[in-house]
Amino acid sequence: MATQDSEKVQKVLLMGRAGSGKTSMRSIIFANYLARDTYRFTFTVDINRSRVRFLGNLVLSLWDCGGQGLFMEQYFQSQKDQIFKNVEVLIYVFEVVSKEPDKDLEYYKNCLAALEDLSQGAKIFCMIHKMDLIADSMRDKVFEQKQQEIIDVSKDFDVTCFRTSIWDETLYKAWSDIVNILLPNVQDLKSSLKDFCDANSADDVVLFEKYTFLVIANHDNIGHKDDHRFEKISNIIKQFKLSCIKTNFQFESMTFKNSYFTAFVEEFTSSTYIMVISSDPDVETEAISFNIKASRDYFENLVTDSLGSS
Amino acid sequence: MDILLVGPSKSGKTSIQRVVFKKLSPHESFFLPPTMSVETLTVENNPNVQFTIKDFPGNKEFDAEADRAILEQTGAIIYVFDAQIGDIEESCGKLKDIIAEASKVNEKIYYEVFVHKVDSDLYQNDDQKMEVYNDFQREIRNELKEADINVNITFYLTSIYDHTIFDALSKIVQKLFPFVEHLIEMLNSLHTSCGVEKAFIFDIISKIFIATDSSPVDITHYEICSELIDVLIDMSCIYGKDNLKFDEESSTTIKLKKGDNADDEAGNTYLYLKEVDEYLVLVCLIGEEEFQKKHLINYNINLLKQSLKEIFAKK
Repeated sequence: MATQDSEKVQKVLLMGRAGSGKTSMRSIIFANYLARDTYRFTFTVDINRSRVRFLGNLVLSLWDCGGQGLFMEQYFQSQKDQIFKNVEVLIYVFEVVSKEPDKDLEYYKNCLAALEDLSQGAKIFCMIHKMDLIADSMRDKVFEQKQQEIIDVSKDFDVTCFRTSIWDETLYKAWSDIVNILLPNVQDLKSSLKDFCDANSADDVVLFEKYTFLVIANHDNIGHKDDHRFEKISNIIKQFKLSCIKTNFQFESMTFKNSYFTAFVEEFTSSTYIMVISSDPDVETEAISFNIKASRDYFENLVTDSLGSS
Repeated sequence: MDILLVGPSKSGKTSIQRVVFKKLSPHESFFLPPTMSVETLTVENNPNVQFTIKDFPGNKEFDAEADRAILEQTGAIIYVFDAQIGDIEESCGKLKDIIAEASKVNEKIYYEVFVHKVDSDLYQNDDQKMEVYNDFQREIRNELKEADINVNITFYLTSIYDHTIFDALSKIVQKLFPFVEHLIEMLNSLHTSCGVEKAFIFDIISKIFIATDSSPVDITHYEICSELIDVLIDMSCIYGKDNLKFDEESSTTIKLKKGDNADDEAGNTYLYLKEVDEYLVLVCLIGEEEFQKKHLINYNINLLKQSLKEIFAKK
């Protein structure tokens, strides 16, 4: 059982102008909302603080900061200390089609300045959000341009930009990358997955977080052509999981097959699901199933270790 | 066999066709332009389960002589009534005229009424839905009685935002194929002999089910089976060779355990999917105890598969 001591609380600030989509993305990733249900949200008043448990022992304290101009002013004045102290991660959401792009950058710069004072070393991520509103052919160009603008004003800060939309897998990609940075010892996990993958002569092995279905680590033995496949799978399986909940069931394991491949998705450690893809006709599916069970305890410890010693 | 979609303009005929057969997202159907001429779409994923949907422009009227060729080929006429703004009396009058003309040409046509768009704010509870359903039913029966027309009409409450539209279309498609009766018999014996809780045979592309056993359909069961097909196809697109979506070896096993707030009666359940013919799959819900006898289930499914081939060969 997790004790108070072993818990690691990380403060994550979610900022951006009003209506940029902060609450929508938070709800889809952490609260099991479907993308189409998020249109009902109204603006967030002041700050909405929530705690999400990730991988058992990592606790993210998410500060969803309402983006109305009035609140924004307060953040940088009366509430500055409270908000910008001890921040581990800042996620700033830019709406790609913005009415006032200059003001977006202005607020963003203010955030950086506040962090420089109060939380040096915070990691900065920018999401260029609602990419679905841009025509497909234009997306690369628009993204490059926005990214450059952001990097230009970020000066000494090291920022990572993502292009996202709640309507496709890009949102999962961005959040998977972010949580990966919060896991200091994920390397051990990766090398063990490689061993597991080799032992089963599998093509692909992936570890997903249990509740969010974000990708934690993977090993790819054959070099799959589609780089975004895990995020797609996160998306697909999470949808299915939600429909299961509607019927009052939870899924424990799934096997998919056709004449070319077999895919296992199974509850693995107490905080993860594992997916194993095999296309070797000589490998018995029962054997993989057995190996998954056999390595469960070993990975349980590794997952706990990946959060770093406390 | 043709299925005709008729009804007032803006009642949602084209949306139905696009959402079910072309996988348009229901939210995007909002922007569809009015249909100006007849749109024909043929579903032919499996050579033995083929039908054509004809989407007519709004307020199409039929004439026994002028439209004889169309009506002779028709298996079912679906009248789509917009439950949000539609005028029941006017609609019933029009439907009566259609039935009067069509039945002169072809007595075998099935008449189906979709009381459609019951997803809006006007219909927040089931009572309100039943009210408009009953009103429509009463009105049209009166109209037909006065005109002395004797046909069978089936009514459905439908919406493109949930699975009701798939359920309604499935039931209509089933009426068009005589072999469905045999399928139902086979699924029934699977139900009794192997303890399969519920079994569906799906066309995987349209996700219409062409048969199910005679036990009542729980719409949540349909939902989860249809989602399962989505997952299988998506996974196969990613990992199948050459994006091969579906073949003879396609199968899925999913173990579901009961949720935290389920009643104690429900035990663990398996969802089991097997290919039975070109683009046709059998999806079953099976209790954990029965699923231990997987070989028996597989054996019986194989028998079903062979019988299905024989039925199709005789046609």
